[in-house]
Amino acid sequence: MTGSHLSLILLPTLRCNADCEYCFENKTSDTLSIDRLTLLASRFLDHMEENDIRELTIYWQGGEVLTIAPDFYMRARDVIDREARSRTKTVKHRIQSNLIGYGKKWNGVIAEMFDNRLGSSLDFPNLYRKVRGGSPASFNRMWIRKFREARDSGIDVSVISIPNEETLARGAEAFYTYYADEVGLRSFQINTPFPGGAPHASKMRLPLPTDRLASFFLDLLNIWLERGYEQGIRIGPFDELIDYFLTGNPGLPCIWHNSCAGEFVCIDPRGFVSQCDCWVASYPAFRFGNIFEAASLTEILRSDARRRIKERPIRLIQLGECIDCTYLSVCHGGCPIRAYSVHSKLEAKDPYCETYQALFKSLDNIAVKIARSRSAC
Amino acid sequence: MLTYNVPTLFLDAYEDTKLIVRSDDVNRLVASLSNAHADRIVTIQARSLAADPEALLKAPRTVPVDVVVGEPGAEYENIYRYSEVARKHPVRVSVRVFPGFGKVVKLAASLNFPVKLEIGELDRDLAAEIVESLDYYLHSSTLGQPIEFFHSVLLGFYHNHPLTLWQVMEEDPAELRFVTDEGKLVLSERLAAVEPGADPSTYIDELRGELLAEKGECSLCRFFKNCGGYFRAADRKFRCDDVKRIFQTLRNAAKELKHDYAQLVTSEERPRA
Repeated sequence: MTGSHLSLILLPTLRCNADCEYCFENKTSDTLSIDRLTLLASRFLDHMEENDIRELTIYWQGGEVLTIAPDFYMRARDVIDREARSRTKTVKHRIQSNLIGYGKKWNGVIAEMFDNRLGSSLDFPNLYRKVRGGSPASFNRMWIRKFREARDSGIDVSVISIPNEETLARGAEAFYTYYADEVGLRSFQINTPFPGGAPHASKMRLPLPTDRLASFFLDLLNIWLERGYEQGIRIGPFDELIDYFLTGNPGLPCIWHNSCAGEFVCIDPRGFVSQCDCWVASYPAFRFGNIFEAASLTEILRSDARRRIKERPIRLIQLGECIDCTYLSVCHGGCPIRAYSVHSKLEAKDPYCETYQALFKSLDNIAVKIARSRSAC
Repeated sequence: MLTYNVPTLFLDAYEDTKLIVRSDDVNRLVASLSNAHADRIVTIQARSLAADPEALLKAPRTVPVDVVVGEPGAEYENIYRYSEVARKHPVRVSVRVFPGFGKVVKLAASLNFPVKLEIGELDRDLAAEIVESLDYYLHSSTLGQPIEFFHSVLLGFYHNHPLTLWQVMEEDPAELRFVTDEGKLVLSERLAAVEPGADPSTYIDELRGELLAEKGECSLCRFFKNCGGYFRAADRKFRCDDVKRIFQTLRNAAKELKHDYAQLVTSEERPRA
């Protein structure tokens, strides 16, 4: 892991104030202390120094990050910034929260540490997200109230949406209207659902049917192009794909990186290191090591578990997969955790391959039309 | 200053020249970058994909890495390992044209690496496969880096300023020489068996003169200034039909591109309503 930039998905706690049925994390009460964070930051930055990595983005995720007091984050930032400065490294912070614990006391931290930006999650229709003892409907009501408070405080909230079988049944028009018109979001991203973590009834029907999901995506794409694209509403991954096909900008979601293992690493509050939050929290066999126990992060990253994830695209080509695909350069076999959670093996393509191909083809064509229309103006 | 392509073993033998250092062993290449002559190394050439190139991440300095995929079954999928190397060093993939080489081109280009085709002997099947790669180069919406020799030849046609294949393929003996694994200095790896003459730097001019004096196919060929006798250097009986078709396709593409660009400029100059 060498180069100018690295992304750390840092889980300061595995505690959560929600009780979402489809969650892929095995929750615990573990929380990172400032002392342990200091050690973690020092070892992480040692690795960056040793491997000539200049910039770091830390994605603070949980569990639920707002179950820890705001003061923790200010102290954490001071610790990390001090360590980074002493090694002339640059660190940026991003935060992902369910917003349940949000209140005005967070505004200072979010403004100072996270550039007044916050990522959250909201499903339509919501079947599985809820607080303990609550209903999905009451979750969405609470979320929207908190979202409006945050927005009124000047916080730029973006949203990840996980479609479910009911999303497909209600269709793209209802979906777009809900997010863009009713909730008033300017930026949302759709992630494909997968049955990661402990088995649960909500995961039994995953993956979603790829053909129906593709139709949903394409309908949504057309609605967005008609009503949102020119108005500056961003829907991921549509806008990233258009940008890619128009300009070659490789800023695509992590599921399509040629080597997510070369760019991301995740650490949980116990110090376990793995590829991302689902791997670290729910698949102990795929942990790379423990940053509090090993001599260095560099040593941990030489683990067999990481090598298997890193070399998955190689194995796919050896198996005759992907090499003939027109969109190999966009996708590289897709997401390892999606493949593993569905097929129980790493050496398989992302289960949404068919959906992605339909999406790539459509956006490839749309990018051509956009380029032509721009040149004709 | 001349550039010599040398095995790591002969790194110290060529003074006052720039060096391309090659080896099957990535660790040797990394070690060469700590050599007293390291500042003269302009490129390192990795000639095997079998080993993990991780050692390149610890190289003492950044230097272009040319990954040479030389034969069928060369575990070409291991090119993926260089995607991490590319964060420290610029990486190019040079692909020998052998049956099935198109998959190597596709994978390397998909990883956003520049690609260079290395053409040795050429039969109809290989020529057909080159045409497939040319189509990919000209029409793939996901291609972000050049595939040589297509790219430079296309630009040559576009700008009416042709480079010869000798230059594009980095085989001009006036600029670059090759030292074999046995230490013999030759014109290039492809032309190792060709007698370079007293002054190798004049080899191409002399060859061109001979080919034109023969008053044969070359003297009538519209692409001679793009080719410069590149293929006939190795085989005077080389059949050029397939190569000419490739040049013609590139010429047509350049013409089309020029036409489209002119239309774009015209439309931008048109008063807007």
